[in-house]
Amino acid sequence: MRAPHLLMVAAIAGGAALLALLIDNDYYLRILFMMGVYYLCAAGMNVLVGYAGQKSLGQAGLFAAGAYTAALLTTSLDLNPWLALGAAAIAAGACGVLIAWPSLRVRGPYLAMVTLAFGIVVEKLVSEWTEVFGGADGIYGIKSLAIFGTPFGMLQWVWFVIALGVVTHLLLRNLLSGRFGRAFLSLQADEIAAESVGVSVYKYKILAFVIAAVTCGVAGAIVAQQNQYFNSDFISFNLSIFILLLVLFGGAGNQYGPLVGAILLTLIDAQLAKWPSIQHFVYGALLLFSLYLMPNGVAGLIKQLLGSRGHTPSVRSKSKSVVAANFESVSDSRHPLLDVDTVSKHFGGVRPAQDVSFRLQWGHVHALIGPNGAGKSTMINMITGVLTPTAGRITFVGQNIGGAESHVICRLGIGRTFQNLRLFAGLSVLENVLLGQHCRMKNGFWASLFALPSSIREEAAAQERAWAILDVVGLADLAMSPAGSLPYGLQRRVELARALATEPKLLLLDEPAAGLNPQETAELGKLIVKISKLGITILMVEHHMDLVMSISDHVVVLDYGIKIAEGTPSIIQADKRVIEAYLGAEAA
Amino acid sequence: MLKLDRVNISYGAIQAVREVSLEVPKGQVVTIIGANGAGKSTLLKSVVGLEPLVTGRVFLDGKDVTSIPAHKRTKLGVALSPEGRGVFPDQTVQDNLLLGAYAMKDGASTADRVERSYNMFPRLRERRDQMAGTLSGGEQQMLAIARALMCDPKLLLLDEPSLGLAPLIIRDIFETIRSLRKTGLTILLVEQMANQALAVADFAYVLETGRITHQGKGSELLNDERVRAAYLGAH
Amino acid sequence: MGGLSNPRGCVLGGFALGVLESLVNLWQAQWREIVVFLLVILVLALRPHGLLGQHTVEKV
Repeated sequence: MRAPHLLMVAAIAGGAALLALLIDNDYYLRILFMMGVYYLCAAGMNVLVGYAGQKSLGQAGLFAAGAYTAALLTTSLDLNPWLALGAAAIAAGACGVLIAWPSLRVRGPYLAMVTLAFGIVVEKLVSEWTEVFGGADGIYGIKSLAIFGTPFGMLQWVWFVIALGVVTHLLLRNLLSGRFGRAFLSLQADEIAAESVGVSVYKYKILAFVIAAVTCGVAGAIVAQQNQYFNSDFISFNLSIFILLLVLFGGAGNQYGPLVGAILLTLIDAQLAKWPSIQHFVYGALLLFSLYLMPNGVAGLIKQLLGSRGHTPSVRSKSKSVVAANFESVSDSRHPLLDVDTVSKHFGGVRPAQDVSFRLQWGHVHALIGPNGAGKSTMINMITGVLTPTAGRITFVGQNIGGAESHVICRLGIGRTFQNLRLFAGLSVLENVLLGQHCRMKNGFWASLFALPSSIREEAAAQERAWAILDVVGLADLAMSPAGSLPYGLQRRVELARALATEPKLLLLDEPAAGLNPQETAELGKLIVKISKLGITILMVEHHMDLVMSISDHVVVLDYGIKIAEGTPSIIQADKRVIEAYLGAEAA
Repeated sequence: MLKLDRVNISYGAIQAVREVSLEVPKGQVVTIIGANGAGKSTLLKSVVGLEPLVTGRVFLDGKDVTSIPAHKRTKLGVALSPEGRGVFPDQTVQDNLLLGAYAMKDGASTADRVERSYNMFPRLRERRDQMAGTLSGGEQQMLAIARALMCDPKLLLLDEPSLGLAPLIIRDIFETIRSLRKTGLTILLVEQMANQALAVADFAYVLETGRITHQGKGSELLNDERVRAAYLGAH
Repeated sequence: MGGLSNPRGCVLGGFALGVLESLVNLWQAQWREIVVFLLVILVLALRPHGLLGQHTVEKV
């Protein structure tokens, strides 16, 4: 945690606390209080919307979960309000899982619909089920938080919410600046690529929903406890829109966005409180406005105007030996590295694989060649879990991986690149490679949240390894550039570096030389040989015959989903069926 | 057929194409070769109207089309088979072809042209009702070329047709280019596979960081020392 | 619920929701919307592109 930032946080918080002290008027104190409450909502929402890219329209439901939990626990069960607050956070988190589960596989308008439906279900539930929730009459006598027996006055509430805001900000900052932040961003960029580097898309989506749920839930609980009264009028679709607007208008994915959004929108909300219909109109207009004119929100606009400050370069590693150390000779003579056994795949009238069998040898460079449509990419996709075989077994170091999920297969030690480049284009080259390290970093959620020393060490080690890999592939000078801004050939190398960062035993390359000119192809060949010498087994799908023939130890040929030949390059080159189906008379 | 006069194209601060002037005479195959990032695709896109020019002019069949938007240029007889194929993955092969003829008014000749496409690429006929997204790379490339031909262009632009294709298919594609030339079609071809491209081209330009550095007859450049060293690799 | 890419799906979705909503109205009016929206969530959870929607193909 860097000192300048801590100082700034302290200054803002101190300033706000001081302001609260100076203001005597309860009305203005209340505005300050609501700014803090909305900041909490926005900070969590920023993780869900800005980082993970899941635009949820049902956050009012989570706000309600927190509020009603606190309300019911302190009234019906007479629970201590502090404990009730904690319980509210947990209850809201549980509801976060509930809203996350149906949202996992849907996107775009369907995601909006699911989250919207969730919000409405909760809204109707609390307003119709009056025996439990009190409906429009509401719940009275909710216990306020108290210190030493004295309930909080308005001033104490403002200070409390500022303190909570600071804690939330610092914790989330810890989380988002390391592997979790990168993992969330990868969900937005490319889910399939995220899975291929070991990020479990489902797990991280649920986590993002839970984080947003907990902060909104705590915000709701606090409002209930401060008012000492809560009813179903608070919970509406408009609240969901408002919470979304906090992030989108403030600046999604930006660390200052939630604060800017909370301050500005609370002020607007207070000014327009007398005219609810104008309020809704204004929020709608702001939503359109910010999505269209200011896609990065107010904070993004300010950042643009100030000119982006350069990233501070991270710790540079000079030793290439770091990379070698990770890839110790890992051959396990008990099991073949990869055993593909009579694997078939059918779908929709197409049969890209029919009873294909082959075995890979530890430490060799293998090639999979064949005409277009022969089923080569399908085979790679089955090995890496993107597709499930219809029949047959795929065994990796003795373990059956057919049908396993991609991120699990990545952890077991298979890394890959894609035929149609799948980079995290908006992230820097270094961040892309660091994402490759994701599954090898051992710091968990709580360690990252609290920036424990073990987590800091893991991050530093990962950075060192990432730099070492960038050295091996020759991209160290471009580490800070956005990956999407590089020329095509270099983008392919970034993807290769990212795959290497997963510390694979087996590296699958899907047409690595596509789009490269002969010179670049030759360099690629040398790079692949260098990687192979580090102890990594390679299987590449390729059409550039000179590359295949010059560096492969073993070639498998597919045609129309059937294996038609297998052997050393010289055998394959002379094989009549291969020449006829694929190479043509002048086999280059 | 095509003339580019001192064309400059920029992406914000980055200048992708600098002072490029070239000509594609009617009925010939002209190729532009060069490394990745040299600006070849950008140049092709500007011909069809997808990239705005900073300065310079584009002349199609003698007519200045610089300010005419892309969707109107198809009617003037230029078609593009884009880099990476650009097929519509959620639609069938048949629908992709029909979309190629979108700007054409008469339905009867559209059906003829569809037949002609299938005759040129029999593999596509087999897959006519398949979603274009499920085709292999080579099949998609064939579809992209066939689709471009559906509007009966006078000038065909091909952006890296060999990308990701098997050697046999690449041979087929270049055979197709040769036979298209025999029908009188003018072709501007951008390629990485410099040897194949130079072998089939009447005239060639070499583009390096946005500038034309060499030009000459295809056969001349094939034998030029500097070109061989930079672009033809070990062959 | 029917599936955005399929017009027949939309008609089906419309009918299904309408009929269901009216039936629930006869039973317990206040649960009307809750049931309808819960159904939407359930359908989309199990079939992410709607009942008759088309799954977009992506070549990986």
